[in-house]
Amino acid sequence: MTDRIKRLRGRMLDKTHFAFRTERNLSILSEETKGKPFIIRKALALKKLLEEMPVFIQEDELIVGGRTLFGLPEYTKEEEKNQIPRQDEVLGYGDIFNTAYNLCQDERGYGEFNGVLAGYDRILNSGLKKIKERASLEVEKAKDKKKRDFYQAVEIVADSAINFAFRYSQEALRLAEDSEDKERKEELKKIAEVCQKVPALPASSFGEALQSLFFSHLIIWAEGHFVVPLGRFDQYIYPFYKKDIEEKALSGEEAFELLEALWIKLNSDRDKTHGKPNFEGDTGQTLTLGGQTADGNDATNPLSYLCLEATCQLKMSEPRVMVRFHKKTPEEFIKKCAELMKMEMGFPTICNDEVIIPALQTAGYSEEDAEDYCPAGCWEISVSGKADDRTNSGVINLPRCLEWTLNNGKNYSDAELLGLDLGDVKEIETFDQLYQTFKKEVSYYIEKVVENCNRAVFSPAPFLSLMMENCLENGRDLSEAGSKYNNTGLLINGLATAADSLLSIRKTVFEEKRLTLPELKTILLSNYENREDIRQYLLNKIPKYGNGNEEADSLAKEVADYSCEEVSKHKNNRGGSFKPGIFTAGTFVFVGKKLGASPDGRKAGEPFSQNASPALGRDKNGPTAVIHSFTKLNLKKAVNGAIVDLKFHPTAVSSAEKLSSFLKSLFHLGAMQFHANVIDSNLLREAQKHPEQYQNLLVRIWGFSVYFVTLSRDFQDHVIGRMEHR
Amino acid sequence: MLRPDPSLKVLLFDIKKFAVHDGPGIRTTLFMKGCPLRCIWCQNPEGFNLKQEVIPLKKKWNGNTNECVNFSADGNSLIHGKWFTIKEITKKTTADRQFYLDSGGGVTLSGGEPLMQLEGAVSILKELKKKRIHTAIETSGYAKWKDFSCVLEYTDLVLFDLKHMNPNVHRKLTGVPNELILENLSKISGNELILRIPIIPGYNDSQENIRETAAFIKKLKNVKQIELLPYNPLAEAKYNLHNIDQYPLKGLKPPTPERLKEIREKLNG
Ligand code: SF4
Repeated sequence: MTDRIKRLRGRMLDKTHFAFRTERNLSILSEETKGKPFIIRKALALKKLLEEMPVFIQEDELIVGGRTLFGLPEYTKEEEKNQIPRQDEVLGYGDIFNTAYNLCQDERGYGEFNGVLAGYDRILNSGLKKIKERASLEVEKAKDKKKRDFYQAVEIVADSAINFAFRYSQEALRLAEDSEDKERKEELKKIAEVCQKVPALPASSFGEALQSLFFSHLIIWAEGHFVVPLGRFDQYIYPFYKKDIEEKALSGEEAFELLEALWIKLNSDRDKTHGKPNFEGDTGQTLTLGGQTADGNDATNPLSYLCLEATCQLKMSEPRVMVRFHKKTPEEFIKKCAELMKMEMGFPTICNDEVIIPALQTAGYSEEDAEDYCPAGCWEISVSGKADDRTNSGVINLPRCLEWTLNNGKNYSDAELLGLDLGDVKEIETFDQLYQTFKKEVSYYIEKVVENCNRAVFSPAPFLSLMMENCLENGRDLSEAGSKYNNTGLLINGLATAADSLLSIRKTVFEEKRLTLPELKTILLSNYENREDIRQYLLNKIPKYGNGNEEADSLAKEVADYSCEEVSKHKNNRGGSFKPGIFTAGTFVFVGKKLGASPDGRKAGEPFSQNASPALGRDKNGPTAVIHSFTKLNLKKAVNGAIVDLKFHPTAVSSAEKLSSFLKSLFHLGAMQFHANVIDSNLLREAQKHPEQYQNLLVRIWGFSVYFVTLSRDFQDHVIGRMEHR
Repeated sequence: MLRPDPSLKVLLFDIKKFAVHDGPGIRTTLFMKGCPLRCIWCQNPEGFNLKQEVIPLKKKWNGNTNECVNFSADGNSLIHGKWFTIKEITKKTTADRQFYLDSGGGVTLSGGEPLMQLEGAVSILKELKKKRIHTAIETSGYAKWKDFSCVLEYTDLVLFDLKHMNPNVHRKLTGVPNELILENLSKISGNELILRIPIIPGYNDSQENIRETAAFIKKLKNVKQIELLPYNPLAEAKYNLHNIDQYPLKGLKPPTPERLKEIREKLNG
């Protein structure tokens, strides 16, 4: 790490850039603009925001830019407001039928995009000027008004982005003039040149590419979107790197410094993401490395390694590293990933090409696009520059479905009929009968979530759209299903908790006849009060998913199959399908709080199982058994992704070699996605006691790593519990 | 030679999957119950006796039970040890085959002293070798050479504990003399060898003993590595937990890292 990078990193951690932030009440509404179509007003709002946004360049910076003003100016007319009911939930994840568009509705109640993998390469390679020219041509030609409006909006936002960069160029010149330091003067002049050129024109060097990327990225945020992934960074940036290195325009050290400078910059606005209160850290700024090329060869290149190295050295939470493994992934790359994993930051997440690519093809993605997949946001799978897959649109809460099964379609805590009333448990005589009822509740739950998703309307996104295949070509905004793929992803939650609970019922009620179903229900309603004996029995004597136990695993597989199939059979209102994924984001804690006791021994309010992992503390046979259980599931059905979390104490993975061989086995056994937290729980306890000394301690909580000390006590305890049960 | 007996059972007191400290790669370690020695520093006192043992708990215990340790019906005692057929063991250990393959790992028989259940040990190792799985044993070396060599035939790697060079002191510390052990050690020829040397401050770390140990090691041929096992005071808690009489090394401190480094240099010298 160079001294400059050390200083930049220090400044970022000290948040010195916060001093440039400002607040302003802006509006673009006037007699004239009020008559304009919504998409034009939105474009004008972005234009105004970028014009008003103060520019700043700090000492030492090589990559410049940043958001200093937040929230688009007023552009919604009074009469347009609240067209769709607001469904904001605490921290964004409600319990029932909720969809992710609720996370961030605009004033009309329209959703903002999240988890869209923008086609940054379009801007890098063509430049915005060309895109704008193309739009201008189309404005002339278009007969359809909607198309014309779209192209006009594109012209406006492309221009605004160019002007925004130009202001940076001017600022750099101004600072260059003032600078007494000769070297810095030159640097600033160089920055001025770069910002004058990109993103207007195609980038022609590594530095220009990174700068162009960073401007585009921050303007996506400015347009109101959230969870903004970076896609296959090592693929679309590599040509620029290669050229500069080959032509000796840059030394390896200079290139690495630029890369680290970008990494640091990406940490700027972790406090401005989404949700009320703002969900700090949920930026979705993932970048994907490795994997295969279109012709099936290995895609890793020197830049892939540099990215891993930068993350290792900087130890910051952004950007989040995802890697793709396939048959030909080099040993060295796997080993480097293991080393990063050992750094205790919760990176990287590993995706298995051999599972994911065929799954995507089955779900209707072309071979070429499937091979180019990458995770959007936490782990959800989509493709870059081609898809509005709304990968995180709603939650299917399986333990809740079981609650309804046992309680006539109602929550234990609630009198309202939310599910289906299919009769009293007294009438259930066989396990099969119970299981059929459960399946009906699951199907019903899915139908409701699907209906809700299909009611969602998204807000126009001219800037994001101009980066997407088909939108520009056909004159259709992303919000009008303009992109090539338009699917909807749902998250299946609490798989292990539900499956373990079903097995508990099958064994205790129907096989051993230790309890009747009504008795069990009474115990659950009372939250195991005075029945610790039964709870211990259920916890310890009933096999659990995650231990390589045939009985438990096959039931989990059945439940997962059924849920995935039920999700997949639905079509959305944009010509796409629903895609199931098995993961939870933070719901296992938030929603777990509202869930009654479950028959696997889980008490009311406790978290349910996270992702496709075993329920907390129930896996007693070590990580290899967890993987055996996980890979018994039909993971290819979970097209939206399925991930298992492994937690290791640092001594358990003493050498990077052993860890990397473990990763290889996971890949060979067909695990779809996995990540490991390597961390010492004692250290976390210390951090709870002395948060001031552990400001920079990163842990992974769901899709992303956060600074441990910023977590609520619930989450801290959960993370510690996860480490300690081993 | 031993005939394979399908009904043959072995008594284990623990099965550790994803073991990364008992030989190369990722392994499964089987802890076989029964040991002819009684080392005063032994960390696995629950492995002493070759029989199931019911040990009353002094106080309520919230720890995990495992496959081989279960609560008694009344919940006031722990039952240590469980019998498994060779077939069950083979199934359990081969489940992780992919992990062994990718990591160069395999299965380690530990204990206790695996040679105590000779037939069982040989049968397991034989089955594993049939499936081309790497095998290791961790042993005190205290067995008849005839028996020992049966096991060695199916063993790739021997983790051999070397505790003290002086026969009398050895007897005092472990309950048995060391002649047989050292003789066996010198005879091992067809297997890879890792020497494991416990370092118990004040008991076996005198300059003299280290010097003699080093001299003995020099004469051995196939030593791949020498590992020091510094005394671990956690054993004390385990004795209390398992209600096993007085812990003989109460209050003993582990060796300092400097001392360990010094010993390591001498032994490798
Ligand atoms: S040989 Fe090993 S198991 Fe046996 S008593 Fe000594 S230390 Fe314990």
